[in-house]
Amino acid sequence: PSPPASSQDVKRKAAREVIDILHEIATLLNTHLDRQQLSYCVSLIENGANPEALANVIRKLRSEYDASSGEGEAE
Amino acid sequence: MAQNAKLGALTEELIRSIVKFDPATNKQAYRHAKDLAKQGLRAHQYGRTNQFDVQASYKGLDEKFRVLNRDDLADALDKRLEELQAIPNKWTPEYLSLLLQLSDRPVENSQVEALELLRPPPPTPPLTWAEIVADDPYSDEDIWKDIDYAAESSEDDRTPKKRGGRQSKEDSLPSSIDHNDAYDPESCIVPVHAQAIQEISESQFWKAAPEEQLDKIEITELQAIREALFMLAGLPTSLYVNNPKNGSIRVNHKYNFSHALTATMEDLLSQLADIGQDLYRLRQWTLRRSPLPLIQTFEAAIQFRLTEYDHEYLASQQRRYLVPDTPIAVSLLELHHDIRSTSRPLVQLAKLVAEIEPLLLVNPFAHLETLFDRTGAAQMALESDVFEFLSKIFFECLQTYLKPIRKWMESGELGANDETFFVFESDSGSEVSSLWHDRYVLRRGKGNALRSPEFLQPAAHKIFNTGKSVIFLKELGIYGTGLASTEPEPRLDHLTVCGDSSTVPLSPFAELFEAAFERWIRSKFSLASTVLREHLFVQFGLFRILKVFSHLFLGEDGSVFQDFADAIFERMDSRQRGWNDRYLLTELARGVFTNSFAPSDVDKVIVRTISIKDQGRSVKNLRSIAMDYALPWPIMNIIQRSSISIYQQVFTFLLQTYRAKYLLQRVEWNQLVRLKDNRLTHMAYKLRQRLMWFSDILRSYLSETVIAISTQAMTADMGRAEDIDEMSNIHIKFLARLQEQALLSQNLKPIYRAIISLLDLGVLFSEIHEKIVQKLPTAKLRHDLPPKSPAKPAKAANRRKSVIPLVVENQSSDSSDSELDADGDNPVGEGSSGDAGLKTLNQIEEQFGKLLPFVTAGLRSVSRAGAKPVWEMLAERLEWDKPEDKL
Repeated sequence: PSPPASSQDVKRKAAREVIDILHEIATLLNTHLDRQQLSYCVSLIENGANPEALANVIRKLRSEYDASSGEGEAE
Repeated sequence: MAQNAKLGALTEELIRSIVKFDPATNKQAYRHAKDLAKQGLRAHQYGRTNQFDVQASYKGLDEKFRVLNRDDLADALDKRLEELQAIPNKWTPEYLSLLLQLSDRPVENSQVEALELLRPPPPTPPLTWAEIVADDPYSDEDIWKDIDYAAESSEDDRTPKKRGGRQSKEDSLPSSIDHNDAYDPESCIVPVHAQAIQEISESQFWKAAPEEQLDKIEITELQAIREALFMLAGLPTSLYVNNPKNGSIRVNHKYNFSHALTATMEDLLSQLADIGQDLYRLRQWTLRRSPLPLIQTFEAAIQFRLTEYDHEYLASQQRRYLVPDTPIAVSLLELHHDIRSTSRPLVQLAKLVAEIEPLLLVNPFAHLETLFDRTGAAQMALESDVFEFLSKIFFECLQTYLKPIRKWMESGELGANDETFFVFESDSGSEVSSLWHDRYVLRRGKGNALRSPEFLQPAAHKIFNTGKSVIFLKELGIYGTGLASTEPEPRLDHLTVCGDSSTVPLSPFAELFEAAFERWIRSKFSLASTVLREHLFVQFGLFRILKVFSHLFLGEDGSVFQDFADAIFERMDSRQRGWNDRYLLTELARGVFTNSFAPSDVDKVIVRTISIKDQGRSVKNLRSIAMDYALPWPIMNIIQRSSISIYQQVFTFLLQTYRAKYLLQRVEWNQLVRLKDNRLTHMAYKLRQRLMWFSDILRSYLSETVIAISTQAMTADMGRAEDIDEMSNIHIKFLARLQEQALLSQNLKPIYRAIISLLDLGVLFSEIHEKIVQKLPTAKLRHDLPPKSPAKPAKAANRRKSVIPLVVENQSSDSSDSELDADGDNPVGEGSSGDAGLKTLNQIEEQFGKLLPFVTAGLRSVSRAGAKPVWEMLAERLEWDKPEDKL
C-alpha cells in the first residue's frame, strides 16, 4: 500500500510515462529523436509551439547542421 | 513575454542538442540557427492541430504497417497509443502530430528490438546471501582445525582502548546478523516500569525536600529502624553520621518523625548511636593488625563474635521487618530494648578493648588479665550472658598462650626468641653439671615480677620445673620412649571449667580456673618428674652417695674414721717431708674405706692437699687435707660444687677434734705418776682430764647432735622430694644447718677460734708432756715445779669473766705458742725445765680457764639470739662445774 502521494508527484509520474511512451513511439516511427530532444519538444509544445512548425524547424536544422542523422533533404 | 522567454530558452536548448557543435566556437552559425528557429516557431501560419486528423493519420499508419507486413510494428504502436490514451493529457494530439511529421520511413528502418534498448536496464536483483556465500564463502571448516593460541595475544597489542572498542563493535556486528537474520528491533526495548522508579525515589527519603517550618525531613519509623540496623552493622547511613577518624557516631538532626516529638526521637536514636559507636570502635580496632600471635587470637575471637552478631542477630531483626511471618508492630522502642539487651556483652567487650588498647603495647598479656578479672566480676554481678561471653573469649585466647607452655612442658623446647613466654635460655653452653640451675631462667620484668599473666604466676614454677625435668631426661638419654602420657590432656575451655549450666557457677571463677589449670599442669608434670626421680634415686643412687658423703666427711662410721685419722696422724707425726703427698693419702683413704663402700665408690675417693702456712704443730695444719669425691653429673645438679667446701670444713673440724684426742691419749697415766713433783702431776692430771673431756664433748656434739640429727632429717625430706629443685633445696638447707650448728658460720667465728685454741692447748699439753717425760730418765726427780696456787685465784677470778676480747685471745694464743717455742728453745737445767713445764702447764690451765667460759657464754648468747637449742645444750654440757648457775 503506497502512501498517498501529492498531486504533483502524480503529475510528474504521469508526465514521465508520457515521455516514455512518446519516446517509444518516436523510436517506432524512426524520428531520430532522442529522449532529451523529445523532452524539449514536449516542453515547447506545452508552451504553445505549433507542432508543425516545430517539426519544420527541426528538419531544417538537421538538414543544415546535423549530417550524422543520416537523412537526406528529401521528404 | 515570459512565454517567449521560456520558448527562447527551450529553443536554445533544442538547438544545442540538435546542432552538435559548441555554440561558443561557431557563434555565427549558432545565431543563424537561432534565427531560423525563432522564425520557424512563429506559429501563426499554421493551424491548430486537429486531433481527429491525427487519429486518422495514425490509423492509416497502422493499416499501412499491417499491409506492409509489419505487424509487430503495428502492434507495438497500437499498444503505445493505448497507453498514451489512458493518461489524460492536453497535448497528446500535438505530440502525436509532431512525431508523425518527424517520422522517417518507419517501415523500413525502425525495429522493434530497438525498443528493448529503451527500456531501462532491469534493476539488479537484490543481492541474496546465497550468492554472496557462493561467491565468497565466509566459513571455511579448516580454519578451526588447529588454532595457534600463542601466536597473537591481545596483551601484546598496544591498541588503545577506543580502537579496540570499535573493533569489537565491528566484529560483533556480523555475528549478530549471523544469528539473527530476522531481527525485530522492538524486542530490544524493555518496557519501563515507571511505577517501580517512583517507589524507589520515594523511599530515598534523604533526597526529599525538607519541610519549611522545621527544616527537617520526615521519615517513617520503619525507615528509622532500617537505618538503625544498618548503623549497628557499621555501615554508613544517612540518619547517623559516622566519623572514621575518631570512631564516633552521631545522630543527624535533619530528620524527624511525623508522629513523635523531636526530642524523644533524638534521645532514642542517640542511645542507639551510643551502642553503635562502641561496636564501631570495636570493628575499627579489629582491623588493625598486630604482630603478636596472642593479640591476633584476641582479634580473631572478637571478629568472630562481631560477625556472629551481624549475621545472626542483626540479620534476623532485619528479616523480621522485611518478611514478617506474623504481622508485627513497627516500633523503634521495641527494637531499642531488644538491641540493648542483646548487645550488652559486646558493648562490655568494646569498653574493655578501649581500656586495654594502650596497655597492650607494653604488656602483651593485658587482655588476658583483664578478661580474667572481668569474667570474675561478671560472675559476681550474676550477669550470666556477659560471664559466658567473656569466659569463652578468655579461653580461646588462652589456648594460644598455652601453646608454648605445652611445648616446653612436653619436650623442653623453647620457641626461638619468644618474648611472651616466661622461660628463656640464658646460657646454652653451660655444663651439664649445672644444667638445672643455670641453663634456663625465668624471664623477669620490671620490679622482678614474672613476665606472665598474673593468674598463671602460682603455677609458673611448676611449669618451669617440668620443662627442666624433660630436658634433664633428654640429656640422660632416656626421654622419648614410654614417656608419652596415655591419658589425653584435660581440656581447658569454658565448658570443662565452668560447666554448662545456664546460671553462673557458684565457685568463683578464679578458683575454678586455678583448679583446672592445676589439673592440666599435673597431667604433664607428674610423668616427667616421676621418671626423673626414679632415675636419680635408683640409677644414680642419690641416697647411696649421700651416705658415702656422710661416711667420708662426717665420720658416720666412727671406727673407720678413727682408723683413717690415726693413719693420717701417724704420718704427720713421723715428720717425713712427703707426709701429705696426695697420692699416698688417697691410697690410704681408699684402703681405709674399702670395707665401707662399694668398690666403684671407693675408687672415686680422692684426697687433695691444699698448701697452707705451716702453723707449727697446731691442729690448723689439718686444713691442708681435703677429701673429695667424683660425682656423676646428674647428682652434681643437686649436690652442687659449692656445697663440697662445707663438707670439707666439717670434716676438718671433726678431724681436729680427733687429733686433739689422739694426742691426749698418748699422754700416759703411768708417766704422769712417775713425776716426782706432786704439783706437776696434779696439774698434769687435771689438765689431761679437762682437755680430754673437752674434746670428747666437742666430738660427741658434732657427731651426734649436729651431724646425725641433720642427716636424718635431710634423708627423710629427700625421700619426699618431688623434683630436683626440691632436692637441691633440701640439700642446701641441710648443709647450712650443718655449718651453723657446727659453729662454722661467719658470725660464730670467735667461738670457733676459741675452740680451736682449746684444742691447740691440748696439743701444747701433749708436747709439754713429751718434753717432761723425755727429761724424766735424765733428770731424776729434780723437777721442782712451783705450786700452781697463784694461778687458782686467777682462774677463779677469770671464770666470772664472760667476754674476753678477741684480740687478747689471739695474742694469748700466739703468746702461748711463742712461749712454747721460747720454752722449747731454752733447755734449762734440771730444775728450770721442770719449772718451765709447770709454768707452761699453769699457763695452759689459765688459758683453758679463760677460753672455756668465753665459749660457753658466747654459745648461750647466740642461742638466745638465734633460738637454736643445740647451742644451749652444748653450753650446758660445757658448764659442768657450775651447778648453781642455772639460767
